[in-house]
Amino acid sequence: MMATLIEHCARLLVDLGLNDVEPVHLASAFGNVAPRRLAPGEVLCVEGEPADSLFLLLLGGVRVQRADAQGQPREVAVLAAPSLVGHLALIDGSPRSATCIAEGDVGLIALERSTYERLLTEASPRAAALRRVLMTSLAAQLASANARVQALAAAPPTVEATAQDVDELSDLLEGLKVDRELERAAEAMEVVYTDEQRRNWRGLGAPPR
Amino acid sequence: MSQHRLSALTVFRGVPEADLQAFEALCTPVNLGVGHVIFRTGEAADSAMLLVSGRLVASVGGRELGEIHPGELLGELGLLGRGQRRSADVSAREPSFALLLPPNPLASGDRNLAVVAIERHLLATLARRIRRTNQALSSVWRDDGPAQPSAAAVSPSSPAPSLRSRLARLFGGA
Repeated sequence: MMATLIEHCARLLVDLGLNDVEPVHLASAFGNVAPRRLAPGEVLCVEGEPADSLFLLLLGGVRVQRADAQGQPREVAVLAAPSLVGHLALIDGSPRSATCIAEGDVGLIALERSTYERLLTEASPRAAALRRVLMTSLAAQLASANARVQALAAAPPTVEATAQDVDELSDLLEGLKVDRELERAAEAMEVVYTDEQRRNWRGLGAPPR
Repeated sequence: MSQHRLSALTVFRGVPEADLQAFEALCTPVNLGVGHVIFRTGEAADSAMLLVSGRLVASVGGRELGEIHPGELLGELGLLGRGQRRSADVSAREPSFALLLPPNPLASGDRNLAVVAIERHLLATLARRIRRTNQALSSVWRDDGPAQPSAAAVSPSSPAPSLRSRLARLFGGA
């Protein structure tokens, strides 16, 4: 966090392509908040928990993870400073959509919900700057998520089936396996006739041995 | 176009009349007859529109995706300079009135509360779409093999075996 807040904001605006937003206006949205530090591996926010702030990442990075259907964490992004983190839950009032973990030494500024809500309805340069950054960040996030879905959809087809399909297929295959085993066992069997069977042989040709 | 029609939209609730007038002065009014095509799939998405009255319908390849009602924005990603292409055809189902937003309407978000309202609407729309896309991703992940290695522990035995693991158990192999 050697650079000033305005310098961090200037870099973020360049990254987002927002050339018509003044860094000083964005910086003043975060102006009265003291920066915080996180140690490597420290958890910034946890998926599913309520959100009371968003973060402007000034130094380091965060790994963004979401749980899959089995509850196993999947890394969906690694965000590097300068960037916004944790804004989605504040915008739509939902729980955190992901878990964020510090990658290296992290420096950030938290913007509390009460400040955010005030800035959301304010017609001022600092509020407009924050809204522009939020909208552009979300649009980039959406484009990236859409690209990931499209990439998965375009991947070579794996097997798609419902749980019921799997069960039915499993039963069918188990049945076939049993049939094949019975067949092999029958082939290996030696047929032995009793003397009575031989005496009662009514067939044409020689009686069985 | 009289002002009370703009103020009747939920998106502009509480916005002063003067700001609504100033916002409307920035926009181009568009009257749409039934069947008029507004956007076509594949066109550059470089403008956005606010439906004020009437009803539009979005479709892809003739298959209807849904209706657009007064107060909804169309082509809003164009406002954010994402350089995307239209993902659907949009046409008028009823005689409709819309405002074509200027190329950089958000530039006056520092002084006009109608623009602030549009920005809040955009934020909510984007957030909703991200949540929906995230849900789609989660469902794609369901049968898509093991998770990426990560800091948290990964359980070796999944409570809901994937199709792949069930088949492996039946036939042998990985």
